[in-house]
Amino acid sequence: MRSIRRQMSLAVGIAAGLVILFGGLGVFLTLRIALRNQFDASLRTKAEALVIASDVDEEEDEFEIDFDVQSFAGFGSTSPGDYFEVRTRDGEVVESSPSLGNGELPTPPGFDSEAEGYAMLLLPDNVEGRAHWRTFTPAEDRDHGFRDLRIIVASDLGRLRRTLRVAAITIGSFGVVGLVVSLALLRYVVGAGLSPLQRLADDVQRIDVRKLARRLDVEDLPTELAGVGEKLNELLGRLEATFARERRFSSNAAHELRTPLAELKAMAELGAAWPEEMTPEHLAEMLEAIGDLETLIEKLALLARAEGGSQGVPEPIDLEAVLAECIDRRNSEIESRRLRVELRVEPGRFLCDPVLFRAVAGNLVDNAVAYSPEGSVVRIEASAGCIRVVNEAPDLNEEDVERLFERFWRKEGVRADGRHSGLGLSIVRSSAEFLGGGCRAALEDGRLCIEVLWSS
Amino acid sequence: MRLLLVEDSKRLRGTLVRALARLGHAVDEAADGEEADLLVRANRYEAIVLDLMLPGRSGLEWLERWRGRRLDAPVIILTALGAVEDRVRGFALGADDYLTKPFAIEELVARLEAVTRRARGQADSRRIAGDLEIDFAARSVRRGGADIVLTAREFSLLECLARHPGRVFSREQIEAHLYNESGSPLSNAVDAAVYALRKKLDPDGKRPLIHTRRGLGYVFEAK
Repeated sequence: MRSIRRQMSLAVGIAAGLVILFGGLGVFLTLRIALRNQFDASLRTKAEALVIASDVDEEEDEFEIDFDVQSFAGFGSTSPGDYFEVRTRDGEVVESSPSLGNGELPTPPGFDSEAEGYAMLLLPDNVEGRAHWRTFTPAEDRDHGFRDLRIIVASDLGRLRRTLRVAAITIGSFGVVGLVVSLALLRYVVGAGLSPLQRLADDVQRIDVRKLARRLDVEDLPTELAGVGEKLNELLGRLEATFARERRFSSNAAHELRTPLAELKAMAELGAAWPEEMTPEHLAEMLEAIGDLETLIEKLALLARAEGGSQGVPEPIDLEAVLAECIDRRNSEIESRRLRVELRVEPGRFLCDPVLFRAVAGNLVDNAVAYSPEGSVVRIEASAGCIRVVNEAPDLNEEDVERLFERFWRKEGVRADGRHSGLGLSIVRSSAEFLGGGCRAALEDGRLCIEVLWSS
Repeated sequence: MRLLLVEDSKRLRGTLVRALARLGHAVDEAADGEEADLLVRANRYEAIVLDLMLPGRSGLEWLERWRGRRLDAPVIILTALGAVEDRVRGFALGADDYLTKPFAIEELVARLEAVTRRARGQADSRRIAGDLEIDFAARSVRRGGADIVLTAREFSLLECLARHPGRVFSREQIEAHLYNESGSPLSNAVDAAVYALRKKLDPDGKRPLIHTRRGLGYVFEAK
């Protein structure tokens, strides 16, 4: 698995290594150039000193260089690494340093073509050195016997090499120590920097489906992670609410199914133990319980269908006909409770899942008819895309309206049976949402107004 | 036994009342807590069967209230909620037993017998008095090895008297045990029931077990 810590450590470690490597190399090369320049400058200075100290002995017509200056410039017999040689234009050596003895310096490359220059040179004893040459005429050369003399000054490069080697070792050692220290520091910094992330990851890993009430501690999170933590907490909250709703739903569904089952079982047992109890009334009650069970199962199936999202084949819907049919089905209750249903429909046809649409319309009508007070008016207005049902609801308060669409919710005091399962309006909501719409409920002057929209 | 059944489902309530009555119990019924509360204040029940999901206040809330008022009748909770926490909460609030819907009537009856027996501090559901042997759980009676067939009401009467040998029961006390609120017995119903029970329990030559205390009532004595 990829690890951010390892990746970051590796990348920053490589970067630090490269910086140290190139930095060291840069310092070393700069130093080398500087030392080389300095070396060349010192060759030049020596040459100039020798030139200034050169002299022509007019009596003996001889070229010479003051020996003190020679020694001072480092060409004494004790300095075997430094050499000079003065040649005439014809190549005849007129003066040379004591370190050369009877030998001669090899001619540096470019000596013949350039009046002045620098070149690498193999010194006597096969020592690598560097030479500088220039052309000059001694100041005292009055009769021009020694015009255009050429002086070659050469020195052993060994000392420079040794200095550079020491510098390389020093830079290298500091580089290695620096690399080790920076890697340790890097490890610490990356670890410390990533620790909130690690803590968050540990916290997230501890999230248990059974203990969703736990929240991540976002107080101590750095700004970069605070948003993630808050979002996760928000998600956990929603998850907890969904789980609680699901648990409530399954527990409620089980409860609602168990009640008619318990009735049926008890009634069957009674009949089995005392056959004389098996009266037609008793059997009718059993059928009623079975009817309730069927209704409940149908409603649960409908809810599962609306929420599970299995789309039926859309059919043209005649809005007025569907609503009239729903009202007609409740006719006996409407009459017995002296309700007046006012239906106003803007005629129109549209395509929709017929089962879900009938579920919406039927449950809306059922709800209004079942809970309206006796002798009151139920107003239903509908157009292609919207149904609005308004009925008297003196017992409802704002809190109830909020819970109206919750599954299995029933106002306290309402008896539980197949008709009042508390599922009707949640079926309306789920179906409407599935049909691309939604629904809302509001309480207006003691009247409940439920509006359902869908895409037609 | 005089029982109270609190259940909001009319069909289940009706069926249980009929079945329990068939077994000789006198059962009062209530559809909600308010109604049950009135009955609990007015009568003394040997056991209460209480549904949890009642309209208005829940069964547990009522149970807590009743226990607060020192109602000591054993209570069997009846509910469709089978979760452990619900059961534990029920027991914590003073329930004696728990039955999850759907259940068998037979089991309810057996549990009623068990909780009332425990409430009386008896370990055995049988009682032997001389040559009379009563099994309250099986609701069977034998005397001198011979089975005696009693009607539910006769057994209930014997149960009332034989559970407390030597204690004199007034006619009113026996009535309260045998009949529920709605059953209004004739004035001599208890005497008639005692007469019928005596005839079955004490056949010719057998020593009588149920004695009359003039002006006081009836008593069960094996001596």
